[in-house]
Amino acid sequence: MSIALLYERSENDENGIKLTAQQLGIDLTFLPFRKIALSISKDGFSAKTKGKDYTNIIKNIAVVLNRAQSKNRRLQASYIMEMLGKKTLNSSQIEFVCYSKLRTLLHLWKEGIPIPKTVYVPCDSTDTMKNGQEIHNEKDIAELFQQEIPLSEGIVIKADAGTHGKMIMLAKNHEELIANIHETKPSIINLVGVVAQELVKKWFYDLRIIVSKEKGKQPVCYHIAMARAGFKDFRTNTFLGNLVFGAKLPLSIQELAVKCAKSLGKGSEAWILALDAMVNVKENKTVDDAYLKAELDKAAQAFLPVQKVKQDETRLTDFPAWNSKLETAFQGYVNTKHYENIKKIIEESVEKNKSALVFHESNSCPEFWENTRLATGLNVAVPLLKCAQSLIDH
Amino acid sequence: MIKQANSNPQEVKAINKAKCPDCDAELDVPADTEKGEILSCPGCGLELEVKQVKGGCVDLQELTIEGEDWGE
Repeated sequence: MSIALLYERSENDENGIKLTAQQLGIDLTFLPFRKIALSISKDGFSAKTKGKDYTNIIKNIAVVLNRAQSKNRRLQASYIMEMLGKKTLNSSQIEFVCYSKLRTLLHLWKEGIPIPKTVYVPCDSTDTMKNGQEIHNEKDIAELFQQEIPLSEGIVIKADAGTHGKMIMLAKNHEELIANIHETKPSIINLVGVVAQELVKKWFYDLRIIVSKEKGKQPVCYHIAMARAGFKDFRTNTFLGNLVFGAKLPLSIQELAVKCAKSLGKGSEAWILALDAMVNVKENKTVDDAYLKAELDKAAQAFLPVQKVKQDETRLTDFPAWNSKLETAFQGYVNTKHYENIKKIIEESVEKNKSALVFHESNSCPEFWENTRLATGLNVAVPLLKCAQSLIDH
Repeated sequence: MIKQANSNPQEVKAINKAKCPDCDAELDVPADTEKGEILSCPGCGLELEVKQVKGGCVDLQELTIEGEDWGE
């Protein structure tokens, strides 16, 4: 019985998992999950692409590493594989919770984990009557939000299942709020209703924290987080061009992260999660913004070679060689004094404001090869594969 | 429209050989395939762009696409 990597297409993370499995001597089976016919009937099940029959391959799989990129497909994949008797990483229960920011926050809130104040209105911004006429609900929704969150402090509207900062919009006045609510039409990433959150005054960075659990063991929080930093926007997603740094975590935050992940992984034997957290720094800053911006600008210059390698298409034809170039470029960035200065500022700020941390999102299929791995030193593929093995060994 | 890589070589008279860069499946590519065309791998279903056709050899590269609900 083997471990399968279920995927839609092999991107850097999937190639990284393959490479890591080779290095660890773990035999991986590959299972495409897009143009494949999964059939169930009184005769059993089959799984066939146009040119290959995967039925027996699936029968010999014990654990499925679910790396389907589409959140919807990933949820289907975990559920299907579990119904076929396979263990999954992550389980469909975890996928279901992490799919939605609201569901994630409800689990965290229930366990007493600090979260940003969040308001959900189940109504959509517009409704369409039978005669085709539209009813606009934006003003009502805006009023409901404003009853709970002062607009003067900023109200953040979020797509419930968005990623990479997609459809996350900040409003600081009524017109902006109405316009942002109008944007949240039901879609594949925002099924029903509108989610709003208080604006966390996170200064210039947020944190990505990795927590994993092998079957039969206690969950472990990796002691270094990836900090995403920049002043480009109120969002700190790397997709928006922000920089990444490694940041040592105080023990109290590691313990809180474990509690947070346990609340999401409840009921599953093994899991791996990337938790996103913000520190509500407010005015409790350790250096002035002008100095920090200058340092970030210089660090951004040092990061350019890394960005250049990321765009290099040799990753598609010779992944190991491309990866070596990426690691060399990243090391060059890490070796600059600007990187070290900003890293130190982040670590001091986290330590000073550790009681002001809020968790706001959890990622069940984290991207890690390009940023998290290099910034933290943790190759997430290793705990991922160990978690998978623990499900076979026990 | 995606041109289908042929898994049954008897259906066409002239074919080129190529390998899916992702699953290593062997593809029989119609001889009239040109650079820039998109093929679908019969093994894994991946869409592949023809980067080069030279002397019976076809270089294929995975297409970079992103769905709206793609995310972590």
